[in-house]
Amino acid sequence: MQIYLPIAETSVNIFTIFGMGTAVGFLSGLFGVGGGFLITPLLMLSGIPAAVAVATGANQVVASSVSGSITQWRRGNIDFKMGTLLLSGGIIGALIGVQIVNYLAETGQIEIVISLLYVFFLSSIGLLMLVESVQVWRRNRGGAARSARRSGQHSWIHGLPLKLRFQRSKLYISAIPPIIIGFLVGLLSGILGIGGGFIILPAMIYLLRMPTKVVIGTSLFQVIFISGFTTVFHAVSNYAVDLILAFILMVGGVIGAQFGANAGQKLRGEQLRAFLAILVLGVSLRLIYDLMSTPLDPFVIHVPITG
Amino acid sequence: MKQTALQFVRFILATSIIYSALTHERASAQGESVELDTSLREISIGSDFSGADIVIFGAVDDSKQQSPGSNYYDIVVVVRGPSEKVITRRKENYFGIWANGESRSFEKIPSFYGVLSTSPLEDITNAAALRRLYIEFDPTPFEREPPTPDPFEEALIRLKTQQGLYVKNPEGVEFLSKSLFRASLELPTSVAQGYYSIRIYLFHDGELLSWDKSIVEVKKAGIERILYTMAFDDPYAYGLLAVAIAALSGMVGWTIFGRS
Repeated sequence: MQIYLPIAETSVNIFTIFGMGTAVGFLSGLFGVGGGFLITPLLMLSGIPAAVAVATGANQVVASSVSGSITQWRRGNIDFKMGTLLLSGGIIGALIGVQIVNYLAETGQIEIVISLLYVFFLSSIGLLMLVESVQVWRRNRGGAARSARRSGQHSWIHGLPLKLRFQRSKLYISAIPPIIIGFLVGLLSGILGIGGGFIILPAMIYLLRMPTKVVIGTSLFQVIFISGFTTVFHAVSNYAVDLILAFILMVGGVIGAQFGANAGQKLRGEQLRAFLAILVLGVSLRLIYDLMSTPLDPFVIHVPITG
Repeated sequence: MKQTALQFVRFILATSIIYSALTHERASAQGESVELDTSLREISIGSDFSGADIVIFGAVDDSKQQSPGSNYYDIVVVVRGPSEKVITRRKENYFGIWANGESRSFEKIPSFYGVLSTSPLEDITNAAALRRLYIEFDPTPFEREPPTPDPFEEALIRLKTQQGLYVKNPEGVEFLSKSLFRASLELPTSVAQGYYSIRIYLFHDGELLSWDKSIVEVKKAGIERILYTMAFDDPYAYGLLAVAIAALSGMVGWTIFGRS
């Protein structure tokens, strides 16, 4: 069944989009990731204009992070003070990211820049995950457990000024690193329509040294607002949020996430991770193929949006 | 497929209008004249929109031809969509990757242009007449002395043709009787909203005998219209609505599934 999308101005198969939402929701339930990094490239590959894919992807991330946050909040796993600080940098990052998308759309470079950025991020994450799962698999087979525990040493981060106390995270650190991390995540959200979990989670654990327990909840909490702001900024600057498209994705995503969370309890971690890694690399390869293959026509035409 | 049924009703209506016009013998002193009507005066882009067909009916008053197949008259139908700005970009290869390079923008280009006729245009009348009547689409009508082929212009027309937005069909108009004829035109999913002008020309022996025009409006309808209008007229409210819907569906998702 075809459905017409008022902002993308094209007609898509409702079941394809719903299936895409469900599949990505399933993966996000399975791995606890936002899934934004798959939604946007998949939309682009199915013929949705890049700006609409990014803006609508950001909108869908709001839905998935809200339901995840409620669960984390009820478990007391959100450091609201840290989240708000991350957020303050994130809003500025998102605002700039959206302006970059606006500029790229005007100069006609948006599809290529966004594809290249996705190729970069998806390939690096995919490879890292693949290497890690192979290592875990080998270690389990060999039985030789290597302990790679970090010591609680102070790093240069702890020498910075503007120190604040974060009770829930049991930290006393400078406000500068969280603001900068938030800013970078906001920038990525604005340009790529992703929640940025794959950047912020390692940054919180390794740079800020936050306890693992509060990391996911705090990340989800700030993602709600960053992707919310990104959605509004995209709606205002680029008229690129397609509510019909977003809604189909959200419904699919919410249902898929539930099945994913259930399946995650039955399947083995390293196999799952290897599977996700291969999927991510597959999307990346497809983008590379599209970037490198000779175009059918040496020209493209484009009708700029006039608001 | 509601539109097919509607088209049929309109077809009956159009036929009866034309029939009554014919029986009233509204002959002008100059001889033949031509009139047109369309199957739809308004095309709605709703959530089930996947393109639309416009059927154009016309009649030649005081037709002098003996039978529909006599080729006595030539008919040209020109459909022009609302104007838009189009940027044509050339793809260039940078280190193995195809990116957009040099570009040229065209102001006020018809978003849709359809030319249907009973026979090839060059057989109907001379190039000067075609140009004077804007029958053949030319993206840069005032820069053409002397005519130089421009790859950007050619690409514009070629790509618009591939997208079904520029249509040229020398067999697109068909006489049904000695005076009644019909032409049908397919609008693809990507058509722009706005007014589409339809002009119709009646030729005999290269000479323009008569012409007529009409307008069809293409616009978004229902939820598509509400969302589109809001997105452009009040983008802040639209953005906040999008976030509110997302937050709400996240909460609903959590209440249904996430409580465990």
